[in-house]
Amino acid sequence: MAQPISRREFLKRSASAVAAGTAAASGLATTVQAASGAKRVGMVIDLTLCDGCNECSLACQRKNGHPINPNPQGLTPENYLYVQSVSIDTPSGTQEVHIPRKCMHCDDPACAGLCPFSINTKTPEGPVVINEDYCLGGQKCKAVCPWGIPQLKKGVGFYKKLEPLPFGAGVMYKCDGCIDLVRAGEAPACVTACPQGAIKFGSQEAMRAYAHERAAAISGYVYGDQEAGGTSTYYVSAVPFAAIDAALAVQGEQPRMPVNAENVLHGVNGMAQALLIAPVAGIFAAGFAAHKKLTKGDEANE
Amino acid sequence: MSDRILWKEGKVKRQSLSSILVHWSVALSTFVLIFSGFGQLPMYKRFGIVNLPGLAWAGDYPLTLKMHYLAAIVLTLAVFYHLTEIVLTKDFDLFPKKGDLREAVKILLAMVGIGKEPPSDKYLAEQRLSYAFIGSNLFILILTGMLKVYKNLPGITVNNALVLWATQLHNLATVLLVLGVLGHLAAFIAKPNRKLLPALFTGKVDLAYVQKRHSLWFKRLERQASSSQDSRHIG
Ligand code: HEM
Ligand code: HEM
Ligand code: SF4
Ligand code: SF4
Ligand code: SF4
Repeated sequence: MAQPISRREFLKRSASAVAAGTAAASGLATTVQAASGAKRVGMVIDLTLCDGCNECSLACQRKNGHPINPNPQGLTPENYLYVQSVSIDTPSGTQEVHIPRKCMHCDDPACAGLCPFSINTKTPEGPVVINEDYCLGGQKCKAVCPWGIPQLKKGVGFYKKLEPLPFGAGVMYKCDGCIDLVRAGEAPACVTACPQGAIKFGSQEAMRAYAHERAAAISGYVYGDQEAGGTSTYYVSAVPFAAIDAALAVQGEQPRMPVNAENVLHGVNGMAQALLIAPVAGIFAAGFAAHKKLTKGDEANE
Repeated sequence: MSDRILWKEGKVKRQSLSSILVHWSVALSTFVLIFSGFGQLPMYKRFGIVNLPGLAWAGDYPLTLKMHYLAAIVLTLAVFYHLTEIVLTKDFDLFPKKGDLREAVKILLAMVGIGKEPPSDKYLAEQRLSYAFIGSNLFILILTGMLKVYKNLPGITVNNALVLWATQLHNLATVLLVLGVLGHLAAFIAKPNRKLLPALFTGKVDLAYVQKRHSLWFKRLERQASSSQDSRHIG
């Protein structure tokens, strides 16, 4: 089943069908020149290729200078990529599915939009990056992230400088999309490390198009295009993501994989529009009141 | 302006219905904005507020975010209504004047028994200062808040440095506003100021209070009444 095409996708497809087509056809990791400006990057994680070897996680730990943990049990401040494994019953027998999990780098990241200090930001290249120097570890980003991705490291960071003021607890850490490599025109460490070529990297448009093409070819599913209103990480799977999420729930795994995960920010869209026209409404109301006073006389208002 | 002396009642009409509505919609929305704003800082969980009976919801970010947006609509409407009214009526009574700082100190000293209180116009010097202080902080909060709202719209990205500054200003203005509101409320601990409270409920204050404390305003109202044809027989 193909996912319905979103409005955004439709626009982007019609705008750059050619570029997307060529990149998708090759299916290879394409690197992007960050210098070229607003060109955003994306990833496809192909669950039909991933065999759960954990090399991506190790590469990520090395790249970020973390102590090497060959068998991480989840996302931690020192492990930004966690490979989950679930068994799923399908008509053709039980299937093992391995799911590398990390930040999805949402299009409208709630974690960044709601950071009370605006030090968690969506970069023009696409990755969502927390400024570790100023994060106070309030864990709000984790609370509003549909997947609870950012992880708290206690006892470090800016808040130590503010002591004894009771502001903060530590620093939130998560995948930064290897923004330094991306800016240098290279692919993220996890992409390069995967022996199966299960993680593809390229422009966001190309990756989105490729994910849908690949899903169509295997009669599979895409996760990450609709979720949270759109992300730049697209999982492709032969088994439905609802089944994967159910299996994760049974195993008590985090993060879960809810289909059509919601974005907190989209819950206030309607009010945001009302808010942006409120000044005009206020001006008109005052004008109207003054007009009434003028025509009916001062006493009418008493 | 609808201000006038009501000799028979022994009162002075001080605030119009629209001023009363503006004050209370600003006050109510500001209280909600302060509460929900602090809720947007990850504070209520940390300091155990969510464990207080009936306040478990205070740690619910999506909820406090909705409250913040809703109250922001009310505040923005009221503030722009008020600003337009000023422009249309040219009523600048609440705007600070030169020498207000010195006059405010004199009034404060007089309240504790030092020296004589200078005669005031419709508003005391500290009211004009408090208006300017609270008003400018609210204005900064609205402007920076608007940018924060705009950047949260789907598909919109605003320059990160601009957002960073808006957020820091939003937070700083919040602290200053809280101090301003506390000062504003503390003003009503002083007995003489309490005579102003009815102005924002019934719209009227005692004539004797006005004659004594706001003598400049009183003279202004008298002059206005005698020069205006239809008000002459009121007195
Ligand atoms: C009395 C007025 C206000 C106060 C005291 C106040 C206070 C706060 C505080 C403390 C925060 C959390 C820290 C931060 O993100 O900066 C916040 C966030 C925010 N405020 Fe306000 N604010 C006020 C008015 C407004 C107005 C008028 C708007 C919109 C026009 C607005 C929009 C926002 C937005 C969008 C956020 C970000 C939400 C979040 O970080 O979760 N605020 N406000
Ligand atoms: C966040 C809440 C509030 C805000 C932002 C606010 C704002 C203001 C401002 C800017 C003024 C004009 C300057 C001044 O007189 O100081 C004012 C006047 C006044 N406010 Fe408030 N206020 C708030 C809450 C309250 C409350 C809770 C009370 C009642 C106890 C109150 C009673 C008054 C009175 C009596 C006046 C004087 C009215 C007059 O002179 O005719 N205010 N307020
Ligand atoms: S997945 Fe979570 S942490 Fe990553 S950008 Fe989206 S909201 Fe932020
Ligand atoms: S993009 Fe970089 S930081 Fe993110 S999971 Fe891959 S290697 Fe780790
Ligand atoms: S390195 Fe590749 S195959 Fe191995 S777990 Fe990661 S994505 Fe899967």
